[in-house]
Amino acid sequence: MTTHIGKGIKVIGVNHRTAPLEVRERFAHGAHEVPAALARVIAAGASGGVLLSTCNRTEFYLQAEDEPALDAVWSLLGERLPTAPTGGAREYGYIARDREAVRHLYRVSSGLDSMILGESQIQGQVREAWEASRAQAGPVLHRLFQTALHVGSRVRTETGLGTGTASAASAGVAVAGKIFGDLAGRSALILGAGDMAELAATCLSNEGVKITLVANRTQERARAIAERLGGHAVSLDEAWAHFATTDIALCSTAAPHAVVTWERVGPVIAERRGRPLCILDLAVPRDVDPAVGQIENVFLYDVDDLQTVAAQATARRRDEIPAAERIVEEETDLFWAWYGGLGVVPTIKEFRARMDAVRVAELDRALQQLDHLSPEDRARVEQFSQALLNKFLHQPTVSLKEAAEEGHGYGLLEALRRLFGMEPPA
Amino acid sequence: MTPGRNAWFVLHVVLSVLGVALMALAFIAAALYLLQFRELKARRFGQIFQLFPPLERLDQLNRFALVAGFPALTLGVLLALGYGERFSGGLHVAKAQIVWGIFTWVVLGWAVWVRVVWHWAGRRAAFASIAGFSAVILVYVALKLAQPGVERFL
Repeated sequence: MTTHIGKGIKVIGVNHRTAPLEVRERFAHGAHEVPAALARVIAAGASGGVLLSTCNRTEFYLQAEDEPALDAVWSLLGERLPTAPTGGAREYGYIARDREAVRHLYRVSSGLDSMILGESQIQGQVREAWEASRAQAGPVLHRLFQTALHVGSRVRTETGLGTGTASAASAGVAVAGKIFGDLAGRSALILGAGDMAELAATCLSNEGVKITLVANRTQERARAIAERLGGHAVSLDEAWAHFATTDIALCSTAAPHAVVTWERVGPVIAERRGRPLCILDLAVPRDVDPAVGQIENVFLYDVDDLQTVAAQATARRRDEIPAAERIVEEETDLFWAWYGGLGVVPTIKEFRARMDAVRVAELDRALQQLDHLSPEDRARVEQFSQALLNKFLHQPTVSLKEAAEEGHGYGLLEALRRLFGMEPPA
Repeated sequence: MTPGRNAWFVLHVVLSVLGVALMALAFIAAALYLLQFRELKARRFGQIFQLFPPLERLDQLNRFALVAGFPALTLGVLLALGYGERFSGGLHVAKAQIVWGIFTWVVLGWAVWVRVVWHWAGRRAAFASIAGFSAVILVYVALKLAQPGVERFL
């Protein structure tokens, strides 16, 4: 474990507050892209990393020195922009270090940092990120994410931060309700068969909406959702014709570009003769070409729109923020104390061993010059050297242990290593 | 006034008032529809989005008010014509009132026609409904200005 303590915890990323959807969707990493992205940052000097990528955030949690691992993250993200701003990707992002980074993740997993305050989906996303990055996380980040899930659960059970419905999916139901009124008996088709699609489809189904078909690139998953919620599974290409009849189209595929284009559905929608069509695009990157939203009877909403609606439902949750923040602070202190103390014992051992080696070497040299001493006197001199070393080392050892318990051990360990020329960890 | 005349007159007034009230309701529903439509289309989620009824409900209300209001209004006017013929020896209204009255009836009838026969719905139907009721208001105001004191129109 000591090999990891020398590098601080950092979080580098962008979120819904710092970057618009157009940028976030370019930074979003699919699960299959995570290992390569982390490998690149680790090659640049980080000793471990976890990549958390959701529609609202792309964050690299690293154990690394500031440079050049952080530069690697910015250039990795910058390459995804068609035209990077003058300052590169970092213009959209932020960095938090050490204790702040720990606190940041705890706030994220609690839903305190979400666009929809207290939303619970992030908890699952933090878990998925941790699992996808497990091989590259390293022990410190491993523990950090494990505790982050615990903090998320604590906040949700001990405060009212997660009460009420305020997810993008439930906002989609609210918006559709403002178009159609009573949703019972309305029809919906689902594009995509991921968790988000299933969650939103379940929300619609609960309102009495009839799920007529589930279209997905791979049919097995589509079939599973169709079996659970009704309707039948089809391929994406078979879905376009149904835009003429469905009331609601829910789009949440993992496609890297828009799949619902004007060319595919424009002529079909014309057959509706003015009947409204509500399209809920929950995907990032977006599934629906904005040109489709220009058609008169089409009401198109993307994740940002729905989250704006959902945000209005969170007013009551705001009262719970102080209680949630207290839990986050408490848990951050606990982690930081653990982290600070992580290297204390081995470092103290190493420090004492080094000092003892000096003592033994100097004692041998002195005794060679004092060969007239009797064995008893030689033993006394040796005892004296031992006692002197113990006296010298007592206070630093106590101070280090205390600092570690209070969560400030990390800085002192660094100082000790530097002052006594101990090797920095790899 | 004989009981027969009285009933005839009351029915005329009730149907006419009901017809105009339903046309006004159709107009209000259409106006709310267009405002809510604009907000939903522009993805604005403010007070109008929160407080106004859903689009489809406004559309249904508009359709109901038009389809129920137009026959009531027509019957009310026919009763007025019949009343005049039967009890007053002819209509005592200016020619302009008849001409403009027919014009208004035609515009309102068109708004109902496009909904029922051509199956217009949504924004186009809302515009048609607004045009119909605007014609009523416009003609009423114009006649009032041209012939102060004449209030028996429609």
